[in-house]
Amino acid sequence: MYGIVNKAIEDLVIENFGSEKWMAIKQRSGVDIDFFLSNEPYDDVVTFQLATAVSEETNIPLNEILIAFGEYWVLKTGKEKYGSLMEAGGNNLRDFLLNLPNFHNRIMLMFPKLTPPEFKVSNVEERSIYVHYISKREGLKDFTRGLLQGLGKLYNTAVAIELLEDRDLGNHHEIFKVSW
Amino acid sequence: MEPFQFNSKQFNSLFPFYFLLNDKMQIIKTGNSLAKLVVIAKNELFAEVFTIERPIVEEDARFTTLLNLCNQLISIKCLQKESISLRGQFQHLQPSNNILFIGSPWFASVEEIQKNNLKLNDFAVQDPVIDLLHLLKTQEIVTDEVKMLLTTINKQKSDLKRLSFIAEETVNGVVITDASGRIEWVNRGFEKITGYTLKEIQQKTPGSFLQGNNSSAETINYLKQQISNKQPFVCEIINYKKNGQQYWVRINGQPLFDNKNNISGFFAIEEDITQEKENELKIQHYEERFRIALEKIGDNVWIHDFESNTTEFSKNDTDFLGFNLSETKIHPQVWWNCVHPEDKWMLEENNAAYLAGKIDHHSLEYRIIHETGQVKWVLDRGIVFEKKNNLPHRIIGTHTDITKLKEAEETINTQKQFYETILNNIPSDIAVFDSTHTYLFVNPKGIKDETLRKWIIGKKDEDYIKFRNKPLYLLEGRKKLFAEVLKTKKIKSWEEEIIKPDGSREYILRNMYPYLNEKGKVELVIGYGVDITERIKIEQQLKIAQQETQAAALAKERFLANMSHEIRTPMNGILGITGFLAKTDLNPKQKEYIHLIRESTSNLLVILNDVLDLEKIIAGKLELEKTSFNITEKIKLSTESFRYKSEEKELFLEYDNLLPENLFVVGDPHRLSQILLNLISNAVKFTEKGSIIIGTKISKETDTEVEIEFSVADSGIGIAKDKLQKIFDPYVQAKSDISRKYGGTGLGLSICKHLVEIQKGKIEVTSKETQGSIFKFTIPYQKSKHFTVQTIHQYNYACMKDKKILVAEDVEVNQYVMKSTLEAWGCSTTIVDNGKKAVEAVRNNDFDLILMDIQMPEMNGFEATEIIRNLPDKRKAALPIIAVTANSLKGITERYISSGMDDYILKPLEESKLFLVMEKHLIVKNNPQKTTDNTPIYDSSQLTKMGGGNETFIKKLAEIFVRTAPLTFDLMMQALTTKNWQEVSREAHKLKSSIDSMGITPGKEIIRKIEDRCKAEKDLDTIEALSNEFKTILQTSIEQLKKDFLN
Repeated sequence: MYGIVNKAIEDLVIENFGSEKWMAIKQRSGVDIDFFLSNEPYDDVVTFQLATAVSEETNIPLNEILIAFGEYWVLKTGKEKYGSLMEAGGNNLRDFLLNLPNFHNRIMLMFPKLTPPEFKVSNVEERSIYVHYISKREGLKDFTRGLLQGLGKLYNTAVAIELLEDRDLGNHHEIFKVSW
Repeated sequence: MEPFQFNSKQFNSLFPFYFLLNDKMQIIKTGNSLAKLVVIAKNELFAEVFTIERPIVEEDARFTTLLNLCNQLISIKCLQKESISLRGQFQHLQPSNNILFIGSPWFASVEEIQKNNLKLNDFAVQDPVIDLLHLLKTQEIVTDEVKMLLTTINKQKSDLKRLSFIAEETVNGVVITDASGRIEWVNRGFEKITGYTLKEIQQKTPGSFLQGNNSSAETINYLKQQISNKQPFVCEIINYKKNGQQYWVRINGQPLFDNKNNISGFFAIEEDITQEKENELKIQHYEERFRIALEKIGDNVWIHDFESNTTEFSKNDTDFLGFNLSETKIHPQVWWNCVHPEDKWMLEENNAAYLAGKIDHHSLEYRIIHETGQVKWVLDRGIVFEKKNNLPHRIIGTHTDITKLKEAEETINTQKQFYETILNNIPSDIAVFDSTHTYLFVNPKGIKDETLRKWIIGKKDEDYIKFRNKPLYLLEGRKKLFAEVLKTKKIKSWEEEIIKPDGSREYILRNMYPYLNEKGKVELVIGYGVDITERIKIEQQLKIAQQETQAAALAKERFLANMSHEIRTPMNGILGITGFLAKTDLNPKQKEYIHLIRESTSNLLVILNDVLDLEKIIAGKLELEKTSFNITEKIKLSTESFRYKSEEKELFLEYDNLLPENLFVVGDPHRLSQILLNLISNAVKFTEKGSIIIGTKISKETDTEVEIEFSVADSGIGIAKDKLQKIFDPYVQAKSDISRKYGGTGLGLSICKHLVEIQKGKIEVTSKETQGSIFKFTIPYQKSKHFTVQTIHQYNYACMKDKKILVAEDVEVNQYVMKSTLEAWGCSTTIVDNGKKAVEAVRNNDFDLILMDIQMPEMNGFEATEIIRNLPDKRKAALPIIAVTANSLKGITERYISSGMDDYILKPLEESKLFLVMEKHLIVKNNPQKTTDNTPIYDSSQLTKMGGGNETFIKKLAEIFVRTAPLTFDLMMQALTTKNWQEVSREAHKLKSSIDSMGITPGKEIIRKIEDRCKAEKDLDTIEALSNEFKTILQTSIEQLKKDFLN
């Protein structure tokens, strides 16, 4: 995972719970990295350790933490750092979701050490779309759900997200039906 | 390769920013995205829309120019939007002979895509521009992050540097060892403390060179154990410096771990605490002393530990609690059991307050129960001296047995209550003020309302007066009096009159009593007020009653005066005319009638005088004379006046005198005569046969005083025993028939008793009926200081010859008596019948003296006297005026004198008394230099002796002395002026024999000194003074002799 993800977790914690909490989380997680560089790849374990420690330290369930993080990723990190790029992604949620597969494929090419998930869309309707999430990592589906929720908020669109298929239930990958 | 074709859509999908130029340089076709970016009209010339940026072309862009640029990287700029450049290449197409531009917009940042209203879909999927911009953005972000990282690193570097510096320079020793405890590094502080350099000790264990004999083996073991267990350690130990000196050090160490959590070494801070240890010792020492001091203050010192809940007592052998404690530290329950159950709450609350951190000290008074069961009061004081987590950990304090103090307090409280009860129930207003007139106390009588009574404390009197809306004059008065009390430091009393709203008046007697402190300063003022309204009302009633009584007494006095006047006036006529009648030729029968008339009139006068005298005595208006007189002579005269009467009754009358001869005393001879005459008169009256013996003797005597006992004893009818007690009461006679048989008013003895008593004497009687009575009385007299001779007054009526007398008298018979008497003396008399005429007479004539009646028509005697005294002719204004009055009451004399009269005489007139009064004033007026002392300085007895009782001869002797002595004195003085001392001596010798002959005692000594000193011619400087002294004596004697013999 590139440092930008871990950095987003750090920002999210500091913003909501303060620096001391972040130090405690870091101590709890056992992660001994003082500074995350956005374009530097870090072991995925680091991210999981951090997320787990946040959950333990704040007594918030991990899935909720991941959802919150997904939203934060879109609304704060994405918007603040890649705002224009995100907005160029589409005029509305539907356009953006349609661009999502290309977007991630480009990233994969740009950051060769990154193993980004793959997104696909299907069943494109006027007011709903199927988003396919195909990742080598496990346990980040809630993060994806948070991302989709965040995008709804970014485009001021109330969305309903339904997990149609779940890798934990034996499916090949997760399929989210995003309706608005 | 086989040619292939794209339709427009496909071409647009691949190259959405393309445009196609014909050979006229007209833009004949554009891609969809370019059209979105730049507005290009159909067939618009290339040069109007674009300009070639790179490569630089010198001439205008023509078709051929563009052909030459094919297959080169071209950058063209939009003329419409200079910020937009397109990056791509030209391609010549045949056979259409058109030139195709394929490229994309070249932006500097992702933001420009949005700025130019483009979306990702506007770019061909294969176009990497977006990815390049994405990378650029990421690069920016990372650059920012690197900058931030550098700042953080720099800061950490700086912090580290500072920390290193602190570690290096701190006064404490810092030691870093390897995992086996061998020194790798020490700071300068360590070097300073121990005296070793880093070089000397590297690779050594600290204990190997720092520890010595006094280092605690226990602590050393502890250190070794902690290090081998890779555990932190804290301890205090004695170490040794390089120079062998020992010091105390506190070591605080901890293991250091590497990233893999393996121990890499130890880090320790060593603090030199030698000073701290010394201070600790000092504190222990002070604590000990402090504890001893506390023990002396209280009866016990205790320390309570909240954590262990134990209390330690300084003394375990004390009998404070009544039992010996085997250990000083006792379980709290032992202590709690001693505390009186009713007072436990106090300690519980106190403990809770300490534990809650609400208090840091306390002072309580409560009861404990001694082992003997006796209840003791204890003063418990304590203070926190150790805290943990900001809460009290240990407190120290003392216990003091205050049982006796409490008992005393109790007594005081009982007394206080006792006095307060008194003060609160006393029926007076009581208030206590401080020196600023501020209320400290008021009792319920002062202020009934309890709230108001509490309110007033600390307020001033003016606050109260204003609050109660009382008149302000009260305040002013009180303030003034308060200031006076402060100033004089004496009690001040005044009566306050308060007019109530209903108009009634209330009177309060107020007092302010200053209470002085030891320095004599007024500390408190006690004010108390008593309602005296009732008393004042009674006083007012009494005043009215008194005025009424006085009016009644005045009326009585006036009545008596009038009665006296009315009786005396006709009696004056009767006596006067009877006197004249007696001098005519009468036959024996007529003479006897005349005698009876005079006798009866005299008796009537006696009765009248008795009544008046008694009234005077009872009213306290009797005045005593104070004159020098020969007491034996006086008694003899009184006795002799009864000689005739007693002989008539054939009674034996004798005067048994045991007094020394010529005993002169100072007192009232007339009142003595009055008593004696009364008693002797009674004796003669009530004795039919036998004797009357008058006795005198000295009963007491001092140098200055003599008390004389007088007695009158008779052998008469005596007095019954049961009457003896009453005979001195007024209007009482021993027998009811006495008045009838013997006459009299029954006032005589009563008057005698009063007269004796007002002269500070006593009177008593012993009697036996039918056998006789003895009246005894004593009177104390002052002995006379001067040697005086009682002269027998000579009534020399001739001296009145030719005196011009004005008589103002309205009653004709009195006019006649007066005129006849005065003319018989040779006076020339003018009679007027009222005051007005008297004044006129004085204005128009010259008189020597005026006899002025008081009660006259038109103008009374007082008015006339006043006018005469204010006459412009001073001689006339100073004329002697004698009041002639029938009013004999006391007080009237003062009135006569104060109204300008010189003297008075009572009616009925007695010739001798009239003469004496007139003589006195005529001589006084004619001899203004007369000495005020009437006592003769010559010896009349000597004269009488020399003259053999021959009046003419005595007079002649006086005349010769009066004539010659001044001449001789003049000759002596002349000789003195020429200092012819022998001549002075001779003349003095002549004077000496004359002075001796006349018995002028005061001059005898002086003239002898003059004679002797001049003869011897020594002490001559005294002669002049002696002569002057003698001159005064000579002049006085001449005056007296002239007065007594020559007028």
